[in-house]
Amino acid sequence: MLSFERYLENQRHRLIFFGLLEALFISTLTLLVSIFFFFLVIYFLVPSVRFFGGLEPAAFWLGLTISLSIFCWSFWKQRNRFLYVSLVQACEVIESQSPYFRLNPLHRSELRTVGYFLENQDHPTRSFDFHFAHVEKWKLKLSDFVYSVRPRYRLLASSVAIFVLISTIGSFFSMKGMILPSHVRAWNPEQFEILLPHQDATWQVDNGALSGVEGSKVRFESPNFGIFTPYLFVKEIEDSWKAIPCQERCEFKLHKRGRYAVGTLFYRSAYFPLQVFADEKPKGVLFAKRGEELIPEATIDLLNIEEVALHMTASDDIHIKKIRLLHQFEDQEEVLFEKPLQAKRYKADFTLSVEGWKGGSHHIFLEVSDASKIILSLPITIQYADEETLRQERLKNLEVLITEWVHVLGDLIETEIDKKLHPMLRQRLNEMEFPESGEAELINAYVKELSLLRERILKWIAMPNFNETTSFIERVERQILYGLSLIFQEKSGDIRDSSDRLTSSRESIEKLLQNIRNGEQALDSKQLQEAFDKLNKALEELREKMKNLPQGPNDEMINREAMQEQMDQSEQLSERIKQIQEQIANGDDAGALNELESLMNQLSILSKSIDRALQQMKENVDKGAIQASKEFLKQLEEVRNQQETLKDQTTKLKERLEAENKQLKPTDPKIKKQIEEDLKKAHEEQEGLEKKLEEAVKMFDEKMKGSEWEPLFRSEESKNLEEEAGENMNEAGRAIKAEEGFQAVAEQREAIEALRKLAETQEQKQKQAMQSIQPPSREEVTRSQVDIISSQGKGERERRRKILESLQKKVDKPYQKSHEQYFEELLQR
Amino acid sequence: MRRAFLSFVMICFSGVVYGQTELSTEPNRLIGFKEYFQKEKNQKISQISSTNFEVYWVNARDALISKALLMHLEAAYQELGPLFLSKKTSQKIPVEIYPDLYTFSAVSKLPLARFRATGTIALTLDQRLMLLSPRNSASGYSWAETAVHELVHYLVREISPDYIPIWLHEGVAQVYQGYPVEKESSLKPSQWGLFKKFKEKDALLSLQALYEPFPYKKDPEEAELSYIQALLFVQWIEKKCGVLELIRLTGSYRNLNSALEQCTGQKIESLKKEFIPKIMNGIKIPIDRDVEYYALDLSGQKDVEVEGRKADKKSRDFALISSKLFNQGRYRGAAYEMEKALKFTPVAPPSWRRQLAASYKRSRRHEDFEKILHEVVQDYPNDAGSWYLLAQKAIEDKKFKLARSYYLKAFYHNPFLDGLEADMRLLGERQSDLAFKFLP
Repeated sequence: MLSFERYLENQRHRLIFFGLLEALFISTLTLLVSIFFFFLVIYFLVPSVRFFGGLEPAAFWLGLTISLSIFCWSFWKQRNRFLYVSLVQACEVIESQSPYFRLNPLHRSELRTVGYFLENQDHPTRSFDFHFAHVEKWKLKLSDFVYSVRPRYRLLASSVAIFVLISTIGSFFSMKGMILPSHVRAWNPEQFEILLPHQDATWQVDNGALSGVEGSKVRFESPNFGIFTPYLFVKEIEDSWKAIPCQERCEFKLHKRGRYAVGTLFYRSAYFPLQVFADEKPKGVLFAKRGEELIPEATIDLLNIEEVALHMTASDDIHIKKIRLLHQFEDQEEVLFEKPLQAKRYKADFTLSVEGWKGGSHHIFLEVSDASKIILSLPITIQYADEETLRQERLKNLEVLITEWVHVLGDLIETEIDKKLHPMLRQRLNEMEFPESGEAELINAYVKELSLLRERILKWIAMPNFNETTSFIERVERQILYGLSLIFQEKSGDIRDSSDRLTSSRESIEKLLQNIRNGEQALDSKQLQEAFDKLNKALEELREKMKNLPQGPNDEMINREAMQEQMDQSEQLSERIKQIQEQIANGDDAGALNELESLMNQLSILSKSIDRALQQMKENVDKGAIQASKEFLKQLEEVRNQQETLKDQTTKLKERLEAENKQLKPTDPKIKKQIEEDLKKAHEEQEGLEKKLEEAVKMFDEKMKGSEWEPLFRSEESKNLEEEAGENMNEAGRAIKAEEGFQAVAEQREAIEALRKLAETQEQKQKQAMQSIQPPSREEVTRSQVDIISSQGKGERERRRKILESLQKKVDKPYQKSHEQYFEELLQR
Repeated sequence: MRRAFLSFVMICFSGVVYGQTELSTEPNRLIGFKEYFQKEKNQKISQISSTNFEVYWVNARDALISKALLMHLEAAYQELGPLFLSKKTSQKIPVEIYPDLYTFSAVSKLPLARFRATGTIALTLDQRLMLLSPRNSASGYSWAETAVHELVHYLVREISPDYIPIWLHEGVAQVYQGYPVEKESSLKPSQWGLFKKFKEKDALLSLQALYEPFPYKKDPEEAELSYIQALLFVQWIEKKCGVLELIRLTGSYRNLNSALEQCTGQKIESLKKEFIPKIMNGIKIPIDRDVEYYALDLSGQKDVEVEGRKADKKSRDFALISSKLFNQGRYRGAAYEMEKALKFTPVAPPSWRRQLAASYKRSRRHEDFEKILHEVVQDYPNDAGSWYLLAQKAIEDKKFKLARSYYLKAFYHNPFLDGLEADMRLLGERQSDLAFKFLP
């Protein structure tokens, strides 16, 4: 059960707690009042009055200090409410609040006395018995008056006041940005200044409504409002009103359009509009210039031309800061031209040099920058075709075409085996596309031949005679082989190039080596490192190109472990270069020099082997075939001349016949006989000529059989012309015999024309063939006719591989001589 | 032809080395296998031994052939030992498998360039049989036969370390290298062809010329001819007193000439005189299309030779086209073209015929597939690839015993051929009685 003393003590503690709360609440109330006051001072009085301009920070700190001081002072003043609460005070509060004392008002102050007695038990003047009895009496009544004291009403009132004040201050704070005086006074904008948003801009005077490009600054002179601070009130679209205090000038950065007014915090002008324009991107157009014509976004095909005329135009609504002409190729980008500008417009011609460019698709852009934005124009695309690119393209097209024809061959072979037309053959031929091969005459002729062959096969497919399949197979085989030889020629051109580069790298290293030996140059020189880099690159290139030569059947049934080891070892030449570089870096000059010499020996052998192989290709050319072609051409000329003579004779005979036929009287038998004899002679001569042509063709055919040049000289085109000439001659002979003079002359004329074309074709092919065997410029080497098969047979390939691999292996210096000798022997085999 | 020649030279070069060492008076002994690899290279050496041999190797992969090699040599020795030696050798014969050409060159002290030039793959030096691991060759080589060839050199030196000239060494080694499997020595068509060509040109080598080191002949053809004539001469001697008797006599007389005179019953001068006109020209050359082909002298300008060259070129053209068709998946066409290619040459590389076989297989001409492969192995008994393909076909037909014998053929020529080891093991797992026990 709760003891009497304990009860009173509890009530006293409650009272202390309530007292503390009261002190806090009242102090807070005082604080809030002072804050509110300073708020008004800082946000209204100071900003409004020109005199206080710039005192806002000081006022803030002052206000804060004063408010806190007031709070502390007030709290100190309230300290008695919780520091010195006695039992007597507690009993007083109980008496005032307990319903018992309200019902028994006479007992009031008795409990207070109890409190007093309990607090003063040790007082020397006390009457102990009385005290004791009085306390005991109230102890017994505890259950009657027991009551837990509650806070006084002032606590509640002060908390309500705090709440009200906080709300009021909060409202003021939240309303601070939106304060816009409602009282309107007259004011009219005059001139204003504007600063455009770029680095070099200056203030410019303007009139009328405030307007400008986004990001510009505007300002105007502050109006005079006496002691009140002038304000610029701005409301941008979608934003709330802002009050910007003005100093000498009212200044503002334009972001969005909206409204503005000028005034003080107590009154303002009418609203005026704010006009803002977005900053436009700069514009740039690049043109290809052809005469006076300017072509935008052009794609230009260039072939071995060194300069391209361009025209650049650029503009911006504010200011162009810079223009750059950029060249983009594959992953690389370079700046061709750069110019800083301070203008709204720019126009200029530019001559673009393409010297040294690699073949491929190049893009040229005009980059225009203004203060904040950079744009790229649409590109001018330059398809730059150097010889190398053209060759690679030709090669690729040729390879695709040959692959197509390999399938045609497959179809024909299956047709031959099954004696049934392969279902894909017609479609394949119809869908076949023939590439443009540009200047490459041999490839052109080849493509033309394939096209003619396709026509023939398609014609045959319409009414297939399976006895002829073998002949078509042979033709297609010949064409594929010839095509492969053309590829080989192109690739050997590649190899010649790389080989030349390798030789040149080797020679420069040798020269450096000599300089090093003579003490003219240091072993670790930068030049040597560069030469090594070039050498490495040339080796890599050569290895790659040799790998891509057309090859015969591959042997799959091998020990791949050995192949892998050989492949690993094939990297050794590059490895050796690295080792030498390391030796140089480690200061082992003697070792590095020895290694270098040995490396040079090996490279020398490699160059020799490649040169020899290329030379061999050249020598493989069947010069006899060209000789035969020349003979054939001579015979053709002979036949044509004779045919011309015969045509003249036939014309005369025709005229005589016509003259005789016009006469009304019968022909003189003598003359008739003479004419008949002449006709017979002419007929015999015509037959003789036809036979002569046939024999010439047959002999040429024989000589060409099996030759590498067969597909070139015995082309479909030539054969067609031969057939045409033969048929015309035959028809002429028949017409002479039938005394159809007009027909005979017409046929002879056509035969002569066919023979002329045939001779021309042969001459052209001869020229192509001759061009291809001329030594040794690269262009010519690429056209040289070679015996490709001799380099593709397994043995040969194996030999080539062995030579190359062995060359890449390291041998000790004492064995270098025999090593070289061995390869010399191998190469001579 | 050159390939055949080179492979022949590879096998036979050991004799040359023998000749070289015989002529050399250099007292330096070679570094030992263990000493080189363990001390200098710090590599682990593996070893396996039988009654008469000890096989050493370094590269773990060479364990694949070590046991088979040991078994093969032991079997050969069981037959050759009694023929050559009156009593057993006191110590085991060391057989060393070298992991690569560099170490082989380093131990043998022969220049690497010379190895490459001659294609040497095995040597007998200091009575040690040294072999280059077949791992080094993509197409492999007949390592077991080569080892026996070297063993014969060893045995000859056991009888007479000196006085035996190179022709006798190489001749005898060629006669017995096929042991214990093939006991009859014979020349290949290409060798007969070469012999015929030189015979027709009247350019056969004299007996004196056979005393010179073979690899130093003026060209590879002449070197090959030396081997051929050495074999033929030894076969001729075999009919007289027997070549082993000749070696023994040489050892006893310490002079070959006296031994030859006693063996042949002819004075040495007369023997030298009659060597080409009677002995060599008296040898009957087999009549065969291949022999005729190899006998063609393609270096001249005769019409027939030019024709031969043209035919060769034609066949290569067709092979090339066939290859293109094959690569495009046109197998019927590929077969058609390769058949044409083979018509024009009697000596197409085995890989051509293997490609033809592959084309047959893919165009479902299984009988032709098998037929062509049998033809290849008949012409090129060393072509491991064809044996392997035949074994695979036999497995498909569930002829496991046959497959085992084909696998063995392939193994003895190219043990490291792609997939071969795995297939052999698989067969052993499926048919335990046919397992290859020598596999590690």
